[in-house]
Amino acid sequence: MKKSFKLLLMMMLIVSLTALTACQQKSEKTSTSGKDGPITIKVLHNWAGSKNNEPDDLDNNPVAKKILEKTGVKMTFDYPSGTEVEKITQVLATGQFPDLYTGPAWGKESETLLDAANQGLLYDLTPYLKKYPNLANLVKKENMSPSLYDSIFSKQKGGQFMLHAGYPATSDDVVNWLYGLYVNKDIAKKVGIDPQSVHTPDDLYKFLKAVKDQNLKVNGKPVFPLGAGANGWPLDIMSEMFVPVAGASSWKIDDNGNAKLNFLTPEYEDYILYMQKLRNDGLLDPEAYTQTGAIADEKFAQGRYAVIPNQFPGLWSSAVKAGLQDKYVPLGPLNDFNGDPYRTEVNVTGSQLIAVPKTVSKEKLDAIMKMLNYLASDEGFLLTNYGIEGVHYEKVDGKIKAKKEWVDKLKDDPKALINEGIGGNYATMAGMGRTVSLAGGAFGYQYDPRYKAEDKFKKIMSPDGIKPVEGKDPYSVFKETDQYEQIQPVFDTLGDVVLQAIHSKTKDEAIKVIEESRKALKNAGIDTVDKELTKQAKSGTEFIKYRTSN
Amino acid sequence: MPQQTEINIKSYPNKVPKIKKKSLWKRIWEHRVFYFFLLPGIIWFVIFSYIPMYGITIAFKDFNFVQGILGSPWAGLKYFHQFFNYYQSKEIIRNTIVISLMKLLIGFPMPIILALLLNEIRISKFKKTVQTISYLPHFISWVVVVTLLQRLLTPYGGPVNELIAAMGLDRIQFLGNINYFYQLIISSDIWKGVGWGAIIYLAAISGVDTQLYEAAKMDGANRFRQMWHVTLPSIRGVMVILFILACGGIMSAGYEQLLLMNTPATTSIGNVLDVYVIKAGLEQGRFSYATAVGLFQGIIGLILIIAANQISKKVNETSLW
Repeated sequence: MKKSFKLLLMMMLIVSLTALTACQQKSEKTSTSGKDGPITIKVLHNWAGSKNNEPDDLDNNPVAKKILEKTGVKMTFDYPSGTEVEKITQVLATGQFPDLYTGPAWGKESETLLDAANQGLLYDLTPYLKKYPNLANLVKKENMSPSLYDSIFSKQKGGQFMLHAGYPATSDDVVNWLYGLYVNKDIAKKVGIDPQSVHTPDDLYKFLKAVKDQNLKVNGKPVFPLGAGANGWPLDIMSEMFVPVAGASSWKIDDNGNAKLNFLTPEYEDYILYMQKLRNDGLLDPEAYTQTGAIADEKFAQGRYAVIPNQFPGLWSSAVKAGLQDKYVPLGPLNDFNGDPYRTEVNVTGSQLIAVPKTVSKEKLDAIMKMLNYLASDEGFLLTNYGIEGVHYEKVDGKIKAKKEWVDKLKDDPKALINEGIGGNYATMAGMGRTVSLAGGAFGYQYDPRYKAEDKFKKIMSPDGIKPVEGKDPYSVFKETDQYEQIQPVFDTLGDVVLQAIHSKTKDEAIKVIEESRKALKNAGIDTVDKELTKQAKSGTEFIKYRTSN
Repeated sequence: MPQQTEINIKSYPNKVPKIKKKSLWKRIWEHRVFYFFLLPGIIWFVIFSYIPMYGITIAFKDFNFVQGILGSPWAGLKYFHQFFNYYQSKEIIRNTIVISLMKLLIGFPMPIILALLLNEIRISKFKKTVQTISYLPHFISWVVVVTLLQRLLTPYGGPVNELIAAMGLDRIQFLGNINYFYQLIISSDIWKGVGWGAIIYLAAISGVDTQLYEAAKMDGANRFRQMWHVTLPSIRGVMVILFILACGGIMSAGYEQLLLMNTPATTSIGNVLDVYVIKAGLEQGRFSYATAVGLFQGIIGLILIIAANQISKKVNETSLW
């Protein structure tokens, strides 16, 4: 009895210790490599939405098979469960590195990756650039946006630690995202106001008020005049009616070169108070800024949003899921801050950063670079965006013509192409964007009703087309100033402050919230930064003129 | 009682036989089986609570990924200065203290009341059912609790508002409304923790000598008087110790709950240290700064525990040490 008791105790101890040490152990290596066999690499795809772009079968989809055949590499993917910044911060802090990093270059996450590069955590890829011309082409200054070059690529110390992909190769390849407000045309008809006549903030207010006055209901639940996606995305585009560059911590630089932080301008205050009024007057879904993606999708699918902000690809995929693709039409378009509803100039965005952590073996690094070079080639671009010639598309007069059967399959299964490996996570690593210049258009543009609808909307929203404009990001100048360390913590919370002001009950309360942060910015030295930007703008530096929030 | 024994011993020193005290190690060896039970707990604390403590040093360092915790250069009190000079720090500290104090003052007595009520139930099956139902919410994560609240309280089809509307009253936006914020925070916290918290008091109550109740009955005490004069004084020690421990958490208002329940409309009263630390550390990557703020929380908590313990020692003669 005594013996068995002791045995039990010992077993308990062993189990406890095993459990404890298991927690301490580093995560098991998921990636394997072999000299002759395929090399499996674990890719961190650091964009929260990219999980939906993963094929169901990572090994047997045609694109993955082709990549394996050409480069000897197989890929598995990991994604962030929270924000992109949180994920990269966790990776760096815990040392649990992937074999390959790829993620959008939006701001803080790119800066964190740059810090990792300059602290020696990433491979210097310079030796591979001589060997692989497709990769060398990517890092040329003229092949990326000036803001990406200024804030990230030019700040690398002692090497080329990052590559990028997705930036348009020619002006034809620049994507017109068609960001704007879209309205349920049946509701617009009931209201009796022509959706295309809505341009100014006042027009919009009147339109939304007219929708509210209809007291519409769907299944007994009220219809909100204005809705949004998860966490208010992308209501921020409405700030472009007031300031040229969206975002509280962006700068407004006028034609004379006078720079002022948006948050300090009366125009941005007008935007905040406008949104506050919409919310307090019951014209904006009170949960718009706080709802999850699932709840936002549910409301959209139930037809409870009369007007919704979005970009065209996002609107189309949500509408297809809900069977509402014929319901929504553009509202406006809204005027920009200059009173122009059809502005042609757009700031070019779209780069994905790519890097390899130093924890990766040399053999694996060689394989990764070979694979990236292949993906960046014309062949790789066509493979990852259009699939296999003869199976998914055919070449007609040198241009790509998708097989109609695949476009038809998309109607029943929106993931049909993703599951073939087309247009998903592989494509985001496939060099510069060449959709129009190389292939003539997106997959199935000849048949897919999506592209007909897109063309129709383009005629309404940007009848004069788009003209890419580029410029230096004022943020890269700000980062070099002595005031950066004091101001950045205030910038980090400015988004929350704007939301707090929008959710205030009264105008005075909102202004009090705004003024408190303005005071903090002034105390931290924002005026000195404004002066420096003004000095540079007046002496000829071309800064970003317009930027849509994403 | 123990004091009296001491006096007796001192009064008759020659009559007390000298007991040779065994050394500590010998006594531990003698009871080694029981100490074995302690071992997993001790190992857990060493691994998860003591070894990571060296990480606190990054509050005083300019932490960078390559040099790591030990190799990063020292930065003195830079990050503490940054926090105290941060324009929202006063508001964040105030919000944290207000919410914690409310949770402590309103939430602390609740498990005691529930335990006393449960103790009065004589039908064992009913008592067990109530007890089980009351401590089940402890196992539900805050994400689920908050989602439930959102669904229940939404003015657009939520059952609570449907009931309000059915009574002819105006629908109420409960969540994201500064007027209902404290009520929801405190009540959901009590709902989630009251049953679990009552377990320890029920255990203490079950240890009360039944003879005391019999004696009270003989003196004519009714059920309420028995509870007041027997049960409550008997569990006073446990109550005081738990109160002292709870005092240590005054600078911590609850991370998950506040992260999920605070909205832009309630930020002025709902922005608390716990959430701020996570945001600064994980979302903004300011590890040293976040550690400094976290350390500040911890030190204040420690001071409060020591102070509460000392006060309790003087006033109540009950203390942790």
